[in-house]
Amino acid sequence: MYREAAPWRKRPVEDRRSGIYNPVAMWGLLFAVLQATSVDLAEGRELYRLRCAECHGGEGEGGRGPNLADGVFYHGDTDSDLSHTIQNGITGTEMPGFAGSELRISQLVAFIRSLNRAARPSELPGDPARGEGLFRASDCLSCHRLGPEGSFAGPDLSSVGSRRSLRHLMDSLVDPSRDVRPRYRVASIVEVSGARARGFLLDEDRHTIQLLDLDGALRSFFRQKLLSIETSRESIMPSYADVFEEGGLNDLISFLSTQRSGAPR
Amino acid sequence: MRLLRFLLLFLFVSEASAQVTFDRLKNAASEPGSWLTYSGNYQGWRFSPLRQLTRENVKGLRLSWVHQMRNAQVETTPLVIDGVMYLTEPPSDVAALDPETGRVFWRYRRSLPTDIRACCGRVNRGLAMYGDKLYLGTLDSHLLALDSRTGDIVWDVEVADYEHGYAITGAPLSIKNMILTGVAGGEYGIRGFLDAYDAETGERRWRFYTIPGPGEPGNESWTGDSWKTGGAPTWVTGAYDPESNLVVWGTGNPAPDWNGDARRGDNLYSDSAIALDADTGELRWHFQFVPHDVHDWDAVQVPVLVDDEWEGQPRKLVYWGHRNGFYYVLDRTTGRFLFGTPYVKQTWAKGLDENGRPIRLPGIDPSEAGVVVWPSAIGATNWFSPSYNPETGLFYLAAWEGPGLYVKGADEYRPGEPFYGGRQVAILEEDPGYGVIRALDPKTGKKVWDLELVGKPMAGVLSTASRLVFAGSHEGYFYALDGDTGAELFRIYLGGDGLGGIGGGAAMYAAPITYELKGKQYVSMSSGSALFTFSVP
Repeated sequence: MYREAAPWRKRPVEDRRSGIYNPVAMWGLLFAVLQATSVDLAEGRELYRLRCAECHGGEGEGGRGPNLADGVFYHGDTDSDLSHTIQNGITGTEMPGFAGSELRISQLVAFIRSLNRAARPSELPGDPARGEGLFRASDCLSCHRLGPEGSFAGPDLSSVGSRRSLRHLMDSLVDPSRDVRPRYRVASIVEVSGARARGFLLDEDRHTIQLLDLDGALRSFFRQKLLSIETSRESIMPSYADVFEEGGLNDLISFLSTQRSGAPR
Repeated sequence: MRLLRFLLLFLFVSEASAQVTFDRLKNAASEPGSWLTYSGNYQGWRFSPLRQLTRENVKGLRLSWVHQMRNAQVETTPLVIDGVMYLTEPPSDVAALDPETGRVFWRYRRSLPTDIRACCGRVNRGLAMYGDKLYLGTLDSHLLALDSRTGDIVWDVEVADYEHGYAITGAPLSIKNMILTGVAGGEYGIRGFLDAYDAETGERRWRFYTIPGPGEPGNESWTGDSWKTGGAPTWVTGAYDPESNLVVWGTGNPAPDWNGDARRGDNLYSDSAIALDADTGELRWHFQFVPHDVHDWDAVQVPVLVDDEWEGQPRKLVYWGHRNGFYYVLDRTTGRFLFGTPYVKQTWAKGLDENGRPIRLPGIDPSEAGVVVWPSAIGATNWFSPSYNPETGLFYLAAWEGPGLYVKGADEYRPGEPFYGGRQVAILEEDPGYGVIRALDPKTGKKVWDLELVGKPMAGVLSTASRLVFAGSHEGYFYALDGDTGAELFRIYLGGDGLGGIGGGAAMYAAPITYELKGKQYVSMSSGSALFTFSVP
């Protein structure tokens, strides 16, 4: 999958319509950033620290949330798009909306733009080509998806490079249970009939529980027909801390960091 | 320990998830509890063999659950396969949910550009499924394969450039290991086509242009370069005859809609039924309902394929209730016109000649001052599905009785811009007409019964082996009717009127489906921005 030296420079299909690759918009952006006063930027930075950094990283490098410093915004990259996303959140993801005044939102946008402007592609700590070899040899695709290949049991890695910082990728390989998104928590249930099921806990309410079975079936259960439910916050992915030889993990995260195709969900 | 669990996981990962095969799709009638494809079967019947809901007990229907969406004008037909319901939500989103409780398993949200070209609403009519993948056409004219377990994107190909007016609103059709999709854009001067893609890889297998290029037969039916911007889109899912490996699909209006001056000639294959070899996309036959259309009378109805006696001989037939106000019977092997007759009031043709070509009356073409003609530009019917019922032997459809105003205008083409060549008014204040749910005898085109409505319905029709018809009204009433008489057996107001974008702001734009789960029959219908599912407790 690794094809070029700087794939993050490649314009994703989703983002070809407008925005920062368009020279007109580029000047507009520059203008907007220059226009923002240092006070606005400072306000924006403080807001960002309180509201955004936990997921997107202190410098927008990404963590639990996408990287905001590489200039790729999948939900629209105009100032108005960014404001809209900040205000309304992104349905179906963990991104909440932030109900701030127009001024506060614009300060936040200005700060995010400044991250953008300053951002440089991180120096990859290893060799992505070797990393791809490890990725394939380690059967990562028996759980994860990468474009048209792979399976359903782990997060889709097709665009993980634009959503996760190198540090987050390393943490996830060394200690997968450190940050398990709710969608990947595993529930084990026993039905009154004695039947058992185990799967990812997709959703639950007072009356029902929804699983993606580990055999790939989507199933809904009525709680009153269950004897027990146990939910684990531990990842079912094993730690790769001691699996590879010297430098292997760096190669692997370098490969993962170059996976930036398609839109994240 | 963790490694052990990891290894155990491998043991669990088997092929137990849903697998839709070509055989299952061909034999849809043998699993009546499912709803496997847009029209319920390949033949375009929107008919269910289920019999648990009857004319006696249907009055006991109760709401089971509601699925709320973000936007109105819901045109989707959900699929129900192996205990999961998959449906699209406007504009180009997907949800997988539990058909017993309505609880959602996963959602896919498409990020769309803001400058989508969708003449008639940011809508989607549904999915196709093959293997463990779902197939979605999007308003920015991409075709996507999604993992049915997670909603993750498996592949995403650009079918056409949305900036040139292309969009996909119809449900794809899964045939063998191919996914067929049409395109919308008849109001933007596209050159229409029907595509087939490899279900596994997304590679294009074939493309059939609905407007022949230079040197191809039919290109001479367009003057000058008008063929390049002649429309003829394919925005409603067609039908398939597995026995003869024949795809039958309807094509839309020539562009511009209401000014035909720059496109003299018949404008093939606009407003036609086209029949293609499923493997190659080669044209086997065509039948053009409206040569040189200047009224926007697309042939975007679901073709209904029936094997029945015709003049004493068993024959492969196509039944077609057309937007232009005529009902047609075609020979499915040759495309030959067998029979046609008006099924609503129409004022534009004296009749059809022996080849099915309309004999036009004078003074019906749009003018600058405007011309009133029956039916209106929305048509006698439109994309909303008809239903053919082999038990009652009747053909059911939602129809409009009423005139429309047709105004001719300038026809300058600019890429990606609306290319109407005029305008239309579909409901005239002085003569608003009325709507009907209508049963026709498919052999004669004669009306058997009507459920007369005030507003004009935009929703499709479903019928069942227990002689029930389910239909929806403009205002948001959902009905169960006696398939033999049209008598109302059940009615509930679901609301949502005024929310839709076209047809005067209707509540209902989808067609009902029915399915069975754990021994209980359900029926689902959308209104406003929600899907409602009913059953008898």
